[in-house]
Amino acid sequence: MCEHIEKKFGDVIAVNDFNVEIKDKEFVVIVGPSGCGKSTSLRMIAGLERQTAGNIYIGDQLVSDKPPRDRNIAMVFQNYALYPHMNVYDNIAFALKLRNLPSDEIDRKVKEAAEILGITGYLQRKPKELSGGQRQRVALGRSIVREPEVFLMDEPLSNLDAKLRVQMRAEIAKLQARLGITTIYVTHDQVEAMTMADRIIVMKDGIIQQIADPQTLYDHPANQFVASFIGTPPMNFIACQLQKREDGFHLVNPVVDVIVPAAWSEKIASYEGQPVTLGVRPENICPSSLEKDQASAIVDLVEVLGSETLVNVRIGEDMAIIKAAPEYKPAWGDAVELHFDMEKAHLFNKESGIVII
Amino acid sequence: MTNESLLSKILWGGLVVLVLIPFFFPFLWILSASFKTQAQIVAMPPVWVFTPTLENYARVFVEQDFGRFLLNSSIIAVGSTLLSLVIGLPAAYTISRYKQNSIGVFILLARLMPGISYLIPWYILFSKLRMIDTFSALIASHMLVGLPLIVWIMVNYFDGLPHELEEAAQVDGCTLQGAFFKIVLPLSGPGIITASTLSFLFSWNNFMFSLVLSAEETKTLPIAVYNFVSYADVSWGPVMAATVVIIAPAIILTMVFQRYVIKGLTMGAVKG
Repeated sequence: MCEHIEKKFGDVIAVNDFNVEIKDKEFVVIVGPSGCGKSTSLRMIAGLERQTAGNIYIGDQLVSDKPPRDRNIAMVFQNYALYPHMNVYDNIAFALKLRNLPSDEIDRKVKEAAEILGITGYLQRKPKELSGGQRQRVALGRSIVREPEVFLMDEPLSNLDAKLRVQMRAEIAKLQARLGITTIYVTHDQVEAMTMADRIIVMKDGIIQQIADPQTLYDHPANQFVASFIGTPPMNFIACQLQKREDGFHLVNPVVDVIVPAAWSEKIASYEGQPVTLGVRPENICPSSLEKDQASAIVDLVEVLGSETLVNVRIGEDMAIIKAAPEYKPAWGDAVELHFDMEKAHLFNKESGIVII
Repeated sequence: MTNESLLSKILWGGLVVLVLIPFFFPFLWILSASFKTQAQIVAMPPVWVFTPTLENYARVFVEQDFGRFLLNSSIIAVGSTLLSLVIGLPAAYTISRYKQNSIGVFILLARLMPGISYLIPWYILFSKLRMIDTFSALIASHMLVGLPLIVWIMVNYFDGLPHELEEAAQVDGCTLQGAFFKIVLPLSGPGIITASTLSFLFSWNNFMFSLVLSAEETKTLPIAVYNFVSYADVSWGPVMAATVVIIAPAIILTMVFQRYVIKGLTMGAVKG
């Protein structure tokens, strides 16, 4: 549990009020852009950075003042941090030797960990003789052999190529499920977060934006930043004015006129006449066959993926991406009409970015 | 084409030989002179073919007890290097990891001050402490050269080691000190060899501090050479033999560790 953790470097607040309770065996991912404070938060949990305020508990134990070696945690670093002067066996056994375990027990545990990770054949090699994926497995082996209370992983897949990253993602997720160890995983890649996590902590500028499971984050983002960060391609944002007309509320700008679902009326009433931001995901916008529909746009770029077509369009002053059927291939510069699935759309406060709907 | 490349190779080889002659010739001269008689050394034109004699070495080691001076130089050079390592390695590590640049610059300043400016204060200090002509005084004075050198080289070296290694060691169960001894030091071999070699050589070759602070008990090799210089004449043969005794360990050490020394000297230039 992290209780209102803060970290200041001089006057700069790197992490502000980091407050979360993580359940036993849970796989939690901290995600956010570079410099958002996610690694700093992880390092404070590890004890490698000292928090300037707040408390950290692992299990029932208050560990805020304890050094890393007394926290019963294991950590996997972005560049693996394998000891170059030791072979794979000694790298994995290092922590066990420090605890003065008998050598036959060390041998058994190391071989067990190597078996789980498929690195039994590499035990006598030095790290420099291994590939990136193999080194990553050794780093994982070094962590699991200790049977810690918590795994901490700091962007462990960032240095791998795309294909290997996909493979290792699945392996880490399966490993965690098999071993049942609480895991806190840091990444800047929202796809990793969405595919691996039980819950995701989204951070920006040192502040937690939202904590929720992947589907909730996707369907109900708390603010515009979360909405734009989660999902590929990202959510589209269209600046509009909220107007009240006889038939209900309308979201309006020079090229857009969308009637708002009746269910929204109560929540949005106080924003009447104000600028707001409409957020719609690419799969919830479709080209319309009508002569005039909710929005008029100009095609800017067409990306054919085979299974679908991504069309970049200009809606007035805003750019948007729509996911269309693979047969839909408009030409650059074509004028198109668009229809929004308003049941799945969101409305954001233009100034604060906080979600209204 | 072949003629041209052959010509350019000959010219290049000639140029290399020309450049190397000023460097190698003195060593070869000293070595050959150490096996010549006085008459052969001063002969003009120079004698290139001669029967070598060990008379000069006999005079050096038997008459002048050079073995003792060799031992003195060794004790002081090894002692000052080891002590500088014991103090300098942890100091360099702390300066590197905790970014204590001002302390690093302060230590370097000691190295930049002219050594001669320390001599009078040291003489007064060590006289009062009755430490003139003791190994302690000489080792301490030689550390003025060795310690900043070791700190300066090792700060750069530690800067190049990834911090994550020590962090991983701490997470695995090491204390900070444990991580330093079990992970950082074993990985610092090349840097330590470089720094130690340079510190040893500076101490081994040092003339000025030994001249002022040593006497009969702790006389070192560079001082002892002057035993062969008198008002009447210079016994060139023994001087050459003594010089060979002085420079041989330095040359051997440099040849063995040259790749580390070159890397260590250029490391600062590359990293900036």
